Amino acid sequence: MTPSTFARRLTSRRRQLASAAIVAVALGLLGMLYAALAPRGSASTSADPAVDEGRALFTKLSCASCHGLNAEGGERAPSLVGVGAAAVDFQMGTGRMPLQQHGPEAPRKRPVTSEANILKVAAYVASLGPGPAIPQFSSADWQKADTAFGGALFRTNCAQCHNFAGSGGELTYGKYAPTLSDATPRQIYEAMITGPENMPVFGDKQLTPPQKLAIINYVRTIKTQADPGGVGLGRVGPVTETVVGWLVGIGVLVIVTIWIGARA
Amino acid sequence: MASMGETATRKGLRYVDDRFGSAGFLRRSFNKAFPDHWSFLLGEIALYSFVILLLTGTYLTLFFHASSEVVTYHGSYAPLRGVKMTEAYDSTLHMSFDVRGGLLMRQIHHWAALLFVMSIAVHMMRVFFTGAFRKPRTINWHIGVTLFILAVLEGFAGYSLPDDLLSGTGIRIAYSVMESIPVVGTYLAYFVFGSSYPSVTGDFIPRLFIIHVLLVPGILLALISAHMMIIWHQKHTDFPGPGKTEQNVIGSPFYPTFMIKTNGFLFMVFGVCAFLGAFAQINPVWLYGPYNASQVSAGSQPDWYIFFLEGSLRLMPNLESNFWGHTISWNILIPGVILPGIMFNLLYAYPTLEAWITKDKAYHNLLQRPRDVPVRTGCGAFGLTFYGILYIGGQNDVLANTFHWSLQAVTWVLRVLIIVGPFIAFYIAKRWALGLQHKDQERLHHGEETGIIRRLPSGEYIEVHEPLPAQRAAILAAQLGIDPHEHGALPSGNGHSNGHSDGHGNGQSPGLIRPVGALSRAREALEGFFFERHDSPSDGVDDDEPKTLNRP
Amino acid sequence: MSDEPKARQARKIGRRTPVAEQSGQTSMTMAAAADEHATDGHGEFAIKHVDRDEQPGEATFAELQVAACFAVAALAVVGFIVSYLMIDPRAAIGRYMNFALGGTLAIALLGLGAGFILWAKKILPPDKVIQQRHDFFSPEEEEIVAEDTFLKGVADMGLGTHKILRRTLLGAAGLLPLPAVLLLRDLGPLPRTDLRHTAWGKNVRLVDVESQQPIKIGDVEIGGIVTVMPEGHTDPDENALSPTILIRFAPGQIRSKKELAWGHEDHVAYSKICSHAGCPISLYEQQTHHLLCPCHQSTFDMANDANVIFGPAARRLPQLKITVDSEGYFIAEGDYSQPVGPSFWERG
Repeated sequence: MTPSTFARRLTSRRRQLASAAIVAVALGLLGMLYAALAPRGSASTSADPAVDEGRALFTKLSCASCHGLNAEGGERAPSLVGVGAAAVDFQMGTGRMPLQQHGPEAPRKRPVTSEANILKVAAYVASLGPGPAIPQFSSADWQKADTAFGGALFRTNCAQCHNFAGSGGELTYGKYAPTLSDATPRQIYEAMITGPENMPVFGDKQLTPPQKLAIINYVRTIKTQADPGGVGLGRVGPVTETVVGWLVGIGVLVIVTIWIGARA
Repeated sequence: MASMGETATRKGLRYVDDRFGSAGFLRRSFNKAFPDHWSFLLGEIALYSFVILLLTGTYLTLFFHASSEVVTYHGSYAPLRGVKMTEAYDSTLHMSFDVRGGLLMRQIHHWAALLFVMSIAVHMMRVFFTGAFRKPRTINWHIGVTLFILAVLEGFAGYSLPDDLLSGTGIRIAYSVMESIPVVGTYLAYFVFGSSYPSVTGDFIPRLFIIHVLLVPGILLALISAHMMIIWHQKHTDFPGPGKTEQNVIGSPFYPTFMIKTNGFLFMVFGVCAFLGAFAQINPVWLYGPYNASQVSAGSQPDWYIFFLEGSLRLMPNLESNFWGHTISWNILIPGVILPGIMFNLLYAYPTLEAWITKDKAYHNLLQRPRDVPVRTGCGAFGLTFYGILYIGGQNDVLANTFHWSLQAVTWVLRVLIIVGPFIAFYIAKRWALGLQHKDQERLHHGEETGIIRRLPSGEYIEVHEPLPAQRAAILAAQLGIDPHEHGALPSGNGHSNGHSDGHGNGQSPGLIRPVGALSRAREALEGFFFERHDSPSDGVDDDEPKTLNRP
Repeated sequence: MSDEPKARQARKIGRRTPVAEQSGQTSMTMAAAADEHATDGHGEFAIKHVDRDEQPGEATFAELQVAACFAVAALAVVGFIVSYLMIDPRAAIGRYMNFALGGTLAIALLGLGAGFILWAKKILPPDKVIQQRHDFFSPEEEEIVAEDTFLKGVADMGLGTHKILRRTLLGAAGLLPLPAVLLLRDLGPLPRTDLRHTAWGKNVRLVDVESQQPIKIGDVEIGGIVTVMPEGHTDPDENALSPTILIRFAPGQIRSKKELAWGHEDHVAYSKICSHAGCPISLYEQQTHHLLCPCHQSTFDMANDANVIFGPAARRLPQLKITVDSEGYFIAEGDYSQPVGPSFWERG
C-alpha cells in the first residue's frame, strides 16, 4: 500500500469515523437537550416514594385528563398547585373527585380508591406547591372540645348554608351546601381550611384549630343525638312538618269524618 | 214503676226548671236535627283543635317565662349549656327537657295549632264550594273569615314566643314589613316593639305573650261562640236529598246521638294530635338555637299558614321608589301588606258580591254541589291556585334543594305561574263542572247505563238505559235547575234550587227604576257570565226516545 | 191579687206511667215517601223511625266492640301513669319518654273516640229527626212595632230637636277615646334618627362576633368571610344594625373601583343586614362572589359593589370604609354612609 493510498484510506475511514462521531455527538446533544427541555413526565424521581406513587396514580385515576399531566390545570379544571394535601384528601375522600360529569356542584359519591392511595395522591399534589396539610388530630381531641361554643360558632359561620342541623341548604343556580351527615371529623376540618368549590375558606387564623374542633364536636353531637320528640322529619323545619300535618293530621281526620257520616 | 235513677233525674230537671224555666229549651235542644253529611264535621275539627290548644296552652303557661332577660343555660341539654339566651328560650328548653311530659305538651300544642288553621281552611272551602255562605248565613261567613285571620295571627305569635333563631328571623321580617308602611311605618314598628329592633328593653316578648294567651284567645272564644250560636239558631244547611226541602232539616237528634258522635270526634281529634305529638317531632327549638340578630339558618320558613306571605315576598320583583327624601319599598309593601289585604277583603266581600251579581235575595238552606255553580267553582279554583302558588313560593329553596333544581329557575317559573295559573285553573274548573253537569243531564234524560246490549228488529244495536228512580230524578233535576217534568232546559251555570223562596225577597229585584249607569251595565254583564248557558254536547247521540229537547 | 211571683204546684215524682203511654204524640212513624209537613203536637219535630237491620248476635257484638275500645283506653291511661312514674328521664330509657307518654295518651284518646263513635253508630237507634225550619224573619206587625218602638225612643231622646244636646254629646263622645290613644304614646320611643346610625365610627376596630378578638390583616384567607361587630358593641341583639361581613378577594377580582377604594388590600366590609327585609345575609359563594340571603333569595354580587343580581332586594348593601391601624388590625373609617337595613319612609 502506498502512503497516499493509506492516507486516502485513512481519510475515508476517518471520515466515516468522524461522521459516526458527529452523529453520535449530535444524538447525544439532542438527547441531553430533550432531557433538559422537554416537560417532565412520570419518568423523573423524587426523594419520597409516596409522591412517586401518587404521581402514577394521578394519571391512572384519570385526574390528569382534566387537571393536566402536571396538575397545572386547564379549561376543564383548575390548577392544583398550592391546594395542599388537605384538599385532595377531602375531594377524593368524599368521592367528589374524580368528577363524573360537569354540573353546578360536585356531589358526594363513593371514593374510587383506597385511603392509602388517596394519601399518596395527596402527597404528590402537596409536593407541587405549599398548601394546607392534612389535619392531624385524634377523636379524643375533638370529643373534648366545647360543644356549646362550637354550636355558637356553627350558627354564626355554617348554619346559613348548611342549615341549623347540618341538613344542607340551597345556593344559587343549582348549587347547594350538602348535608353534613356523612362528613367525618377530618373531612369537616379539611373543608373548612380548603374551602371546596363555593364554600368560603376558614383559615386557622380566623377559626383557630380549637374552634374548628369545637365545631366538629357540635356537628357530630347533633348528628348522633336522637330526636327526643319523635321522627326528625329531615330536620328542615316547617316544610316537612306541614306535609305531615296535611297528610296525617287532616287526612286521618277526614277519613274519620267519613267513617262517622257513613251509614252503620 | 219508675227506677230510682229515673226519679232522681226527673227531680233534678225539675229543680233546674223551677229556677230557669228551661224545659221548653231543653226539649227543643234535645231533638234538634243535625244533618249527617261527613263534610259538616270539618268545622268541628277546628273547634276541637281550639279546645286542645286551650288545654295544652294553659299547661305551657305554667312553665313559660315571657321575658327577654338574658340568662345562661344550665339545664340538661348539653350542646347549649353555658350559652347565653333569653329567659323565654331558656324556659322553653327547661319545659322540653326537664319537665316530664313538657315536650309532649309543647308538641301537641304546636300540632294542634297547625291542624286548627288547616281545618279552618278546609271548612271554609267546604262552605264556599257548597254555597253555604248565602243568605241568611253571610254574617256567619264574615265571622268565620275573621276567625281565620285571627287564627293565623295567633299561630304566628305563639311560635315566636320561644325566641329561637327560626321564629326570631320571622319577627325581624315582620318588623321590616311594619317599617315599610309609608308615613307611620317607623313609628308603628318602634311602638309595637317598645324600642329599636329587637327590643332590648325587653317589652316585645311579654307583649306578644299577653296577646297570645289573653287578648286573641278572648276574641276567638267570643267569635267562636257567636259562630256556633248563629248556627244553632239558624239551623244547619243540608244537601238536597229524599224528603229534604228548604223548609226542613233532617238529621240525627242532638241528644243522645249527635252528642255522642261529636264527643267521640273530640277524642279522635285530640288523639290524632297526641299521636303526632308523640311520634313526629315539631319545632325542635334546641336545634335552631337562641335568637341572635347576626345569625340565620338556610331554609328558613315560617309555619305553613304564613307560607303564602313568605312566597309573595320571595316572588315579588325588586321595586322601590325614591322621591323627595322618602322611600316606598313596593317590594315589601305589596307582598306584605297590600296583597294580603286584597285577598282577605275579597274573601269577606265574596258573598255580597255574588248576591249582587246574581240578584239573589232568596233564603238558601239547601246546599249546591260545586258542579252546579261552575263560575263560583271556577272563582274558587282561581283563588286556591293563586294562594297555592304563593304557598309553594314560600318553600322554593327547600324544593330546589330536594329536587336539585336551580333556585332561580324555580322562582321564575312561579313568577310566571302566579299570573297565568289562576286563569287556567278557573277555566279548567269551570269546564269540569259543566262537564259533570252534562253527565248528570244525560243521566236524567237517558237514565243510567246498564251495560246490556240489545238488538232492535231493525238491526241496530243499542245499550239499554234504566231510568233513574223518581226521587233521585227529582233531586237531580232540582240541582240542575231544570223543571223535572220537562227535561227541556239546557244546563245553566247557576243551579238555583227549586225550594220555595221564603222571605221578603223573591229572587227578583223590586220594581224600582234604577239608573242605567256603568255599574248597572257591569252588573248585567257579570250576571250574564255567571248564568251563562252552555250547549250540551250529548244531544243527537243514539237514543231510542223521541227527541223532546226544547232549545231556547 | 198577690205581690209574690207565682209558685208552681208540687208534683209527685216517682209513681208515674211512662211518658210514651201518656202523650202518644211525641213520636210518629213516617210514611216511606216523606211528608214534609208532618209534625208532632208541638208543631216542630217528627221522628222518623229507622229499623236497625241486624242479626240477634250483632247487638251484643256491637256492645263488645265498644267495650273493647273503652277497655283499651283505660289500659292506656294506666300505661301513661306507669310510664310517667317509672321512666327516669336521665337514664338511657329516658329518650323514649315522649313516645311512651304520648303513645299511651294517643291510644287512650283514640280508644275513647272510637268507642263513642261505634256506640253512636251501632247501638244508638238510627232514628232521624225531621225538624221544621221557622221563618228567619219576624211577622210583619211585630217588626213594625219594633221599629216604631225604637224610633219613638229616638224621638223621646230628643236628639233630633235638642241641637245643643246633640252637638255637645258628639263632642264629648268624640273626644273620650283620645286619652286611650294618648296612653299608648309611651309604648315606645320615637325612632328619631336611630335608624340612620349604627355603632360603627371612626377608628373602631372590627372584632369577630363570637370570639370578640380584633381581626388582623392576614387572618382572613383569600375566599374567606368573617362576621364582625364594632369593638365595644359586640352584642348583635343590642346593636342589631351593626353586624358586618369582611370578605377577602384575590388580587384583581374586585371590579368596582369604589369598592376597591373603600376596602383595604382586597379586603372589603359590607353590611350584613339585607336591604330587603333585614335578615343577616352570609351565604357567600367563594367562586362566584355571590352573596345569597336565605330569607327571600336576594343575591348580591360582592365583586361589583354588592349589586343586586336576583331577588326582591332593591338596593345594594352599604359598604363600610375600612383601613388598617398601626398594629395591623382592621378599623372602620367612620359609620356607614347611608342607613343600613330595610328601607323606610324617611330614608331618603
